[in-house]
Amino acid sequence: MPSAAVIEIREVTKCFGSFTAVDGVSLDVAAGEFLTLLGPSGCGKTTLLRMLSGFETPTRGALRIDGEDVTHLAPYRRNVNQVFQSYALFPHLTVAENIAFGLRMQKVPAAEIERRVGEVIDLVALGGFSARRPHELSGGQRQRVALARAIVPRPKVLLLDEPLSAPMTFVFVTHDQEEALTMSDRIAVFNRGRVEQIGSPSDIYHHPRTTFVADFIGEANLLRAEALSRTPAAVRLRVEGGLEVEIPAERWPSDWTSGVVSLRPEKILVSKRPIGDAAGFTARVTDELFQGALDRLHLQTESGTRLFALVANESALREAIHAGDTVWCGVHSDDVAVVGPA
Amino acid sequence: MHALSDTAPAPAGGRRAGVMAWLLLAPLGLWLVLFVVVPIAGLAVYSFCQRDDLGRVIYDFTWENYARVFDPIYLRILGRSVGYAAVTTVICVAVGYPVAWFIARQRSPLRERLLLLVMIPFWTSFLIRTYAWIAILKTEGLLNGLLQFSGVVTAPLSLLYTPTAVIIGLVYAYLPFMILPIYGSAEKLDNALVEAAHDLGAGPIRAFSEVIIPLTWPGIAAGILLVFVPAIGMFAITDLMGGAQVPLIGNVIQNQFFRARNAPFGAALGIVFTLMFIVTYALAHRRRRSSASP
Repeated sequence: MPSAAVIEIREVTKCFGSFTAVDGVSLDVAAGEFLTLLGPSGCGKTTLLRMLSGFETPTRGALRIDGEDVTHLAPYRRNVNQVFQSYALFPHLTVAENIAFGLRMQKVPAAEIERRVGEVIDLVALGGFSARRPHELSGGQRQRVALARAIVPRPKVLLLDEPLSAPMTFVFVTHDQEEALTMSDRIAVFNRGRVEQIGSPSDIYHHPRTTFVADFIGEANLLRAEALSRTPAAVRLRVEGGLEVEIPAERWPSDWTSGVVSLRPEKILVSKRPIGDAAGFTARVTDELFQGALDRLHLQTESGTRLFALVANESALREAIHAGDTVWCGVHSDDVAVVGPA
Repeated sequence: MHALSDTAPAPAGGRRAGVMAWLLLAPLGLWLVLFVVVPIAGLAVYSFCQRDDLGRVIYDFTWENYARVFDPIYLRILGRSVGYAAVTTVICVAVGYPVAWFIARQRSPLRERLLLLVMIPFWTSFLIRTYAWIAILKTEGLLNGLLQFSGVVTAPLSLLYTPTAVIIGLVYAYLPFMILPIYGSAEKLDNALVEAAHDLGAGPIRAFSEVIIPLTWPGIAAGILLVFVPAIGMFAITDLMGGAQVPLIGNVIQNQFFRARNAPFGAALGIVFTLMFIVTYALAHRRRRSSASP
C-alpha cells in the first residue's frame, strides 16, 4: 500500500568516493510504524538515516516523505527530527530553550511555545529542570531533553540514531513484562513496595524465587510440594498431582516439610507414552486451545489437580494430542522452581 | 571544596608540592617583575616628574603632565585611535571569522596546512612586511602598476599615507590574532550541534546567529581583545603607512619620548592609557561574571 507509506525510499545509493555506503535500498515505512535499522558499524544504516534527515544527499535514487520528494531538500525544510547519538544539546541554552528551539524556528507564537514546551517537559518528567543547562544534567536526563526537543515540533518522522547505545545506565520502569525481558540486562521485580527478585531476564524467568515472580513473569503452574526424603545432596519431592522429583538440596530449605513449586507450562513435555525413566505424571487433557504457534492444553490429574501446558502446535511429525486423551507429562528437575513455603 | 581542605588532613606531599609550584612559577614571577612591574613603576615615577630644557628628567613632583593629558587635542587623538582600532577590529572579525571557520571545518592534513599559512607571516619581521605593503601601495607601487597596466585607472591612485593605508596595515598586522582564537573555538564546535540546528528547522542564517556565534563567542571575544587593545597603541604602522598624516595615540607617546624629548608627559599619557584599559577590562569582566551567574 504505497499510499499509506510516510517514508518511501526508492533505489537509494550513496557513494563516498569509491566506497558504496548504501547500495540500491528500496523500502517503505508506514504511518505509525516503528522501524529499526539493525546492523554492524559500517553497514550503511547511519548513512541511510542521514539521508532521511537531509545531512547527506543520495548519489542515486529518490526519497519521499509524506508524498513529497525530499531527495535534495535541505534538512531545515524537512518535517523530520532526529535524536542524535550524542544528543547534540545546545550547551549555551537551558533545557527549556533547547526544547523550544524547533518551535522558535517555526515561528510558533510565544504563548504556544511556552505551553507546548511545558507539556513535553512534563511528559519526559523533567519538571523543575527547565532552567538547567545541559552540563548540569545526568546522561539520562540529557537523553530525555534530546527526545523532547525532537518530538515537540511534531515531526512526521522521528529518527533515533543509536539512542540507547551511549554507555549509560538505564533504570527503566515498566509494567510490561515483554518490554522488561527484551530490553533489560537485569530486572528488579517489585511487589508491594519490596523487591521480590533481582536478576537477569533469563534468571528471573527460569528460576523465579517467589510465587509472585513466577506468576507475574510469564505463566506458571503453582503446585504444592512435600519433602519425602532428604540426603545431603538432594531432596525428593512429591508434587501435587503425582509428580515425584529429586532436586538439589540447596534449593529446598532444610526446615521445610512442604512448599510451593512452579512449573512453566512450556517445560512440561506432553506425550502419550512415558519417555525413558524421566520423572513425570499422568493426566487427562480436558481442553485444547489453539494459540497460533502454540497449543494450550488444559490438564487434570487423577487426584483432581488442574494445570496447563504449552506445546508446539500440531504437525505431521508430532503425535496428535486431543481433548479426552490420557497423556504422560514429563518434567525435568531443573524446571521445578521452588517459589515459597506452603 | 573549602570545607574539604579545612577538615581533611593535608596529604604528606602537599607542602612539598606547594614549594615545588612556587619554584616552577619563580622564573615567570621574575620575568613579570623585571619586564612589567619595574618599567611601569618607572613610567609612573616619570609621569610625576618635570624636565629641563634639554629634555632631562628632573625628579620634582608635579601634576602638570596629567593635566596636559586631558587637553582636548590629546583626547581627540585618543578618540581617533579608538576609532581606528574599532574599524580594524570589525574588519578583522568580518574577514577572519569566515577564514577561521573554513579552516576549522577541513579534514586533518589540509587543516594544519591552512593554519600554517596563517602563521607564516610571523616568521618574517613585522617591519619588513610593513615595508612590503609600502612597496605595494606607493604611487609607483605594484598595485598602481597593475591597475594602470590593466587600464582600470589612468592616473596612479594615492593610496599610501592615507587613513585607508593605515587601516590596511593594521588589519594585515592583526588578522592572525583574530583568526587563531576563533579557529580554536570553531574547531571545538561539535558539528552535530550545527546539524541539530538545521534538523530543528534553522536555516543557515539562524543556525549561524543562534548556535554558531554563541558557541564560538569565547574565540571572538579573545580575538577582539587581542586586536583592539594593541591596535589602539600601535605606532609603527601609522608612522610608516600613514606618513604622520593621521597621528594616533601611539605615535604621540612615541614622539614625546624620542622627538619632543618630554619623557614625563609621554609617561603620563602611557599611564593614563594603561589605566583606561585596566578599568575597561575590569568592568567588562565583572559584567560577564554577573551575567554568567544569574
